[in-house]
Amino acid sequence: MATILETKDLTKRFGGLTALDHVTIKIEEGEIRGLIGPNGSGKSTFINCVTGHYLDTTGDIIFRGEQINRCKAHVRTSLGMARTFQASRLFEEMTVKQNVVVGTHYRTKTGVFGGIFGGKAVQNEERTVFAEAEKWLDFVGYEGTGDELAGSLAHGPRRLVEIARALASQPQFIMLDEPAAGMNPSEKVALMDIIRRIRDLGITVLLIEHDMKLVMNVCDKISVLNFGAKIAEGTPEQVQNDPQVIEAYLGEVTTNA
Amino acid sequence: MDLAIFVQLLIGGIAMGIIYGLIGFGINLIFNATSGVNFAQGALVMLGAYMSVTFTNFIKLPLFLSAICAVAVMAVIGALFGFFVYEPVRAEKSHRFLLAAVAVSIFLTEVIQLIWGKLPYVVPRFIKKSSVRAGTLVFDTQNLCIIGVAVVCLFLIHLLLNKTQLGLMMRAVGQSKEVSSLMGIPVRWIVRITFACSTMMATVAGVVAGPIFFVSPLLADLSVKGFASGIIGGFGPRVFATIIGGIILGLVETFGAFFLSSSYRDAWGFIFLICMLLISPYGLVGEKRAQKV
Amino acid sequence: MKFKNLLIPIAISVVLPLVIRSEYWFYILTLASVFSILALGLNIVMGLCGQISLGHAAFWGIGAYTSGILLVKLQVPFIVALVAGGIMSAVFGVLLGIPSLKVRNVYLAITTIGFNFIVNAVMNNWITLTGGPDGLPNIPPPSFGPLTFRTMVGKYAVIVTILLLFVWGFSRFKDSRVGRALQAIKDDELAASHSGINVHYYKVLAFTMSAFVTGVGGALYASFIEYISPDTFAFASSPVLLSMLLVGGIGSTWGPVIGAFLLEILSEGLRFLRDYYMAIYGLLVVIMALRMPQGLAGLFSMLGEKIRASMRQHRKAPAGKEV
Repeated sequence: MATILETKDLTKRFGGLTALDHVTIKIEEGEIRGLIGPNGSGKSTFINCVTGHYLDTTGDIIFRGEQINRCKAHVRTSLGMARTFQASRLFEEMTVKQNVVVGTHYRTKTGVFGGIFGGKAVQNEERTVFAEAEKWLDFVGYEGTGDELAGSLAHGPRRLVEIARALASQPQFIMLDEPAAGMNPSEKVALMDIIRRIRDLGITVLLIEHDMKLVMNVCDKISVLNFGAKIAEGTPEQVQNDPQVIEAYLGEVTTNA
Repeated sequence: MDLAIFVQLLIGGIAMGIIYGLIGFGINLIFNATSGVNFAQGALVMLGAYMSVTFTNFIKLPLFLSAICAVAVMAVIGALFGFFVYEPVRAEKSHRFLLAAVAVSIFLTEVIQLIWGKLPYVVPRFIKKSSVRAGTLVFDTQNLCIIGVAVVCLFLIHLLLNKTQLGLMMRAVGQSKEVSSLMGIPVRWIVRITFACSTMMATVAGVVAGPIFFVSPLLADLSVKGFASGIIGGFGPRVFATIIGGIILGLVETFGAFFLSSSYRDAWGFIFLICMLLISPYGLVGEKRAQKV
Repeated sequence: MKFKNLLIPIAISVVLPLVIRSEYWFYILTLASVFSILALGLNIVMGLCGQISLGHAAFWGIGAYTSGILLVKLQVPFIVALVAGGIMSAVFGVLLGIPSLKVRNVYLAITTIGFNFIVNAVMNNWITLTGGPDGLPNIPPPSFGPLTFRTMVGKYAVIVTILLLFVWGFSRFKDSRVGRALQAIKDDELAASHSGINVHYYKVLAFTMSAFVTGVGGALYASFIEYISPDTFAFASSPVLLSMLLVGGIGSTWGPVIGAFLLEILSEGLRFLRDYYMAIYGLLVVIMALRMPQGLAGLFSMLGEKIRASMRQHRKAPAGKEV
């Protein structure tokens, strides 16, 4: 199977602090990869580097065979990656449907004049993107008309809309940053199903999650970060029994206590 | 070029720039504490200058004393400004605060004209003798006073920020409000105090600028120069860079007016600013801070 | 916007000349229409894209001077001058937007103010071109081919027609792909860029479009007043446009129109307050900014929503009794 994302010695520093330390990870097409680690271990930083939020990284990021170290975030999206955020970031003053439609932005064409003066092609495009938005909202199991403002949503539905928005860009690779945070148990079960169905569409998934049960259940392979460095990688069973992983998590428990 | 003229322009430019810098300094203090942009700073400069005029011309206090009184009154007004204008909108996006501040500055400008009238006030110079000579060099005493007062004020604020408990708390709030409040710092009060400090700096700027510009509603336009100094120096925790930015701006304006054309005096500074944004968008020492995700 | 939503405004604009006979009030209404266009221009960059421009009077002035100079010195047709005013303004919009929109959103606010000062200095000092502080007199009124609109009613007709066209265009644009991209940037720049939107490009685009519309407004202003001078376009005028937008409702389609008409009419109606007028006006703007960020347009649509909701309840209530 082909590699979809590969990082080589990916390093990111904030002043004196090294948030990511020579991280080398290879993700194969079609897998569901988990990325776990104690708080502050660099998981979100990893996604932020891969998606182009931070451009001052060293090391290589190779996506579908192309080196993308210097590409800006919107360019990376157009190359086929999509993400959700740890603290969900919707366009609060737009409707749910419009939020999802924004996800289709880079693959649609209507310009300023088209938008104002319209025409058959423009109308068709509008109809298509809104139909697609509804399709993705159905896909994630969003309950609601889609005409309500995103700012008015509760925690769980916000997460779903964000996933729908990411999917609307028709990515090859999607990164979910703690999608289960704030979800109740039944929502989590639904989420597991959504993640599997995303993979069934042929989309590779990178999942950051604190909920171990969810990660162990849904992921094919897990990478573990601690203090910005990769300390283990393997199947859920291998990772669960890895002494370094146990120590990292135990360490967290003792410092928290 | 004649050395005497050069030195005179240099001192004049630096004095002017320091006024800009003081205004920008106040704006940057608030920016660090709240990430809000206070567009009413110019109106506060103007109000401060009018306060000082009131104390000298109407209550007949000596110059120095009335400046102190004006600064004290304005500190209270600054804290109230923080309370009434910043706090109601702070939870929202920062541009709501910006718009509210613009509205406040429209309002204040009008109210000031109602109270004090539209005519400019002449303010006495700090020292009667208008110039001192040193060999062939001639120095304007007001310019020297501006530089002197500014150095003293900046030294005091440096002590406040870096050597006191209060300053430590102010810097902590600038770093992270959440962490600060977890550590038991009274964040709301620190923000109000920051507004007070910022307004005090604005008042100092207004008071020292009075004898050069006259005290009139036009003083509000100085805030734009304050912002320009902030951009040139770079917004961020290194607040003193704003003063350097202001001095650069003052020098560009003064020398531009002398060598190129004085009718474009205001324009030179802004043209420099726009060019500067093209070359070094984060200013001299500004941080490139990526947004937190 | 569907065409039928424009019918009521069109009807109002047609009926007004029949009801109002006073030349003076016509002048006020036409001026308010010009200000509506200027504020609508500002609404594109501020309301849709969330970028703050505090020196928009500069673009108003560039539009007015470009068109005025072309009309007076080169005698070009009105329509050419109108478009040229918009284009010249847009060109400066691109040039200023590219460096200013790179770093922080507030930088645009500051560079636009600076730009306002620069433009004003040029108007005052390039006397051979602009006439300097004395201004540029004898600008011909709007005309299309042989048709010249010399009377107040004629100018009113031309300007209101163009205003309605812009309102229609704005509402269509707001609900289009690019319009949504701008709103996404306003709501959350970061999420927008990760959704595949080239944030810098669209910010510059919004600013340019805004400058274009405001420039056209300026060209209309020149032909309406028939005389322009630098003072009109000084920095002091920029907050006026901004407060119209704040009072009317930032981001809404009718907001700038409501704000411009209300403040124009208020400024005539409250004239008896003399000096206090501006202070009261300022206080009004402060209250709007602090308490009603959606402006009057927001208030109206909220009221409309409430009325509709209560009507729905009334309709339901009898049905409930039957059961």
